[in-house]
Amino acid sequence: MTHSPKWRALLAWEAGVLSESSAAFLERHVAACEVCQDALARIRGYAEVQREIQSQTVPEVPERVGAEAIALAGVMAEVASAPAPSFDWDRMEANITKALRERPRHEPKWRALLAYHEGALSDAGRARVEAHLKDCEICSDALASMGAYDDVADTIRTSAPPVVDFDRMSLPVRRAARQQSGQRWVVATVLAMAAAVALAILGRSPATPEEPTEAPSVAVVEETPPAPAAALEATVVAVGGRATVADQQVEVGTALVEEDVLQLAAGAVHVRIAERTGFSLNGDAELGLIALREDGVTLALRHGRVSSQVRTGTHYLIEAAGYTVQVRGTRFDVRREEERVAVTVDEGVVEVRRGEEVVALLPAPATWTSHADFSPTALGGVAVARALEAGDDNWPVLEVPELDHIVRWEIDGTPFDVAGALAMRVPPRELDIVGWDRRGRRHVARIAMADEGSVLEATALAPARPAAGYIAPDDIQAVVQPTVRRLQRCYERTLRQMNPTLEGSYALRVTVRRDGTVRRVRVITDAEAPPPFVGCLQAVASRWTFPSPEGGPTATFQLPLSFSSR
Amino acid sequence: MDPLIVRAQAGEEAAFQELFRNYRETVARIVHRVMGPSNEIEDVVQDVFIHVFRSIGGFRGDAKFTTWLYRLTANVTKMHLRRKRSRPRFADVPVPEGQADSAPVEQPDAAAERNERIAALYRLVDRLSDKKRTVLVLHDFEGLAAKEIAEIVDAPVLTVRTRLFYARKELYAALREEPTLAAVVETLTTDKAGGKR
Repeated sequence: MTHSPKWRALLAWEAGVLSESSAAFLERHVAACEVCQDALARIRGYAEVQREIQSQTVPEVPERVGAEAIALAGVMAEVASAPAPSFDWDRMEANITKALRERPRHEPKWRALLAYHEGALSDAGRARVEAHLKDCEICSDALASMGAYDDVADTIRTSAPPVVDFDRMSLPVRRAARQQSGQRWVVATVLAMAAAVALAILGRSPATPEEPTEAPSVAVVEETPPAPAAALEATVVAVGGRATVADQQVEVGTALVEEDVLQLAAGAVHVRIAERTGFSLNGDAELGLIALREDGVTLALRHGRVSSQVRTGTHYLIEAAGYTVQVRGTRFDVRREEERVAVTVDEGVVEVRRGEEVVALLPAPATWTSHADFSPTALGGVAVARALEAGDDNWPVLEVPELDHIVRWEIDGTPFDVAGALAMRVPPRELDIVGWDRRGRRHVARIAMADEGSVLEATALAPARPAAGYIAPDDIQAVVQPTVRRLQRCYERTLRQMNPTLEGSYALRVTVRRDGTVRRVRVITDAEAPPPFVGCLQAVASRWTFPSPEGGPTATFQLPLSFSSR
Repeated sequence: MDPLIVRAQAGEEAAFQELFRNYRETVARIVHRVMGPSNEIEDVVQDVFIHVFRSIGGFRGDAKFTTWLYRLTANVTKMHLRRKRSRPRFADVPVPEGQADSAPVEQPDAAAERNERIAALYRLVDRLSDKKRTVLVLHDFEGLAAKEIAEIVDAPVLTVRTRLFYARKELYAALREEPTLAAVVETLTTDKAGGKR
């Protein structure tokens, strides 16, 4: 592989601005380097052509000058004779001087200096650094800083070990050892029970009296074990609003690691930490990812609200204003506003501590607040972070644009309290999208996700029709059956009075109001229906009263009718 | 695996005590190096051993016990530092130090200056991220090799070297902000100008 020509150095050499030592070094390099020889030849060739161009004489203006040229010459003469603009040369000079002073400081060449400082440079390298140091105060200063650091670090390294009163600490350590040796089997048993409790709660809400609900939860919450464990990498699976980590905008797919601090101005961010474990950060909030380990997750809520879903058995802890909320396997929500903290538990058991003191043990459904004037999220309102169940980093990304009239979304069943644009990973299939406007009206769209991701078109979102209600067929039958004879009389009267051959298939399309009364009856038929016959059928049907429709304000159904004179 | 560790894993109290006696100086030294001048060293050392006894069942012998112990010590110390960061820091905490047998006796002024330099450097070290701090302390103060640090912090050797470089760079750049360290820099600059370096 050939190296790139050292263009800057070669140009500087040609321009005669290299120091003697650098010029000598370059000369030695060029003598041995065909690439740089070629480059130098090009530089010199170009310079030669440049000189030739510059030395070219200006061609004389031919005598046959057109009118345009004369006009142009006139204008040019006017321009030339116009008074020169006046400049404030002093101000300009001051500005230039100031700008020069404000030039970015030369950044010390740390790597080269460190190598020099550690004696890892070749003779030539050392010579180059020393030549640079002669004229560079910044780098000289940096080098002196290295020496100073070494001095102090040496002092620390060689300093005597601290005097520690081991005897004083041996008692609590021995106590811990004794507890450890005596309780090993107890912990195992209790953990097994805790898992059973969590499963019971996940399966159905009220536990039967004989099931252990409280005792195990104390042991569920152990001290944070800092035992070595593999690091987890959390992934952003949905984001709406402005979320940042270290001032960098967070996007779907952004990996979060330990020590990151997630800041959210408004909207929501959903983060998947591991299988069926993750959180959604909502509104104006800030969350530090203190520990993301296979054996434990610790989050520090600085302010705002975080909703978590945690797989059973996962050691998961949220710190907020001196309180610690610890859990294994649950769905819960922590809100913090300054020193006030509130917890809502929708599933599982959560323990709230302050220091070593257990201040609340919360089997779901439960809420707790540190201050009476600070309300927890309503029960059942803990949002599930998106893509926790079967989320996959290969899922396509759905992008939803900012729509003025939409203030919150529900994407494929996941609520998203965001007014602006949002993006989230979604399964690659057909999805239902619902947006609510400021007046609470629903707007719906159905989108088929492409493998490479899709964007929701604003026009795809249409106001939703009110949901249709439902009346059970048996209930309809119970109302209609007693009136069949009257419907039959409508037919017989028409036969007698108007059309002795009337027959055919008919259907009544009936719309029922919220109170069960009939709002509208349409007679549907493919045959000719005399208006008095239609009117008679409608008159009978409009007197029906059904049970109130379920699931919607109105219900519509169709009743088939068949009449025959034979 | 060391029979002592096997016995501790089996829950034998005497084994825990022996482990404590064998490794307490090592742990105290690392905690001291990582935390710098602090009056909380004893608390942290005690906490480390409580965690050692709670977690020793998970030690599988894949790495050296000392590597595992270093990692755990670094983690526990890191947690203490995090808690401490939320509280105001006292700049001039007396450094509880023993006198090494071979160490020459220092004049009180010289010792005070030395301690102030150390405290000043730790004030700058406090500004580093936990990851950089751990690598820097283990390498520059504790004298561990990058490879061993890589095992302790569970990161590639290259990452350790990179963290070390950037940690030092941050310290070099900030050194003059601390007057006592700036004085050392000045002395070295003067020495250099005088042709001593």
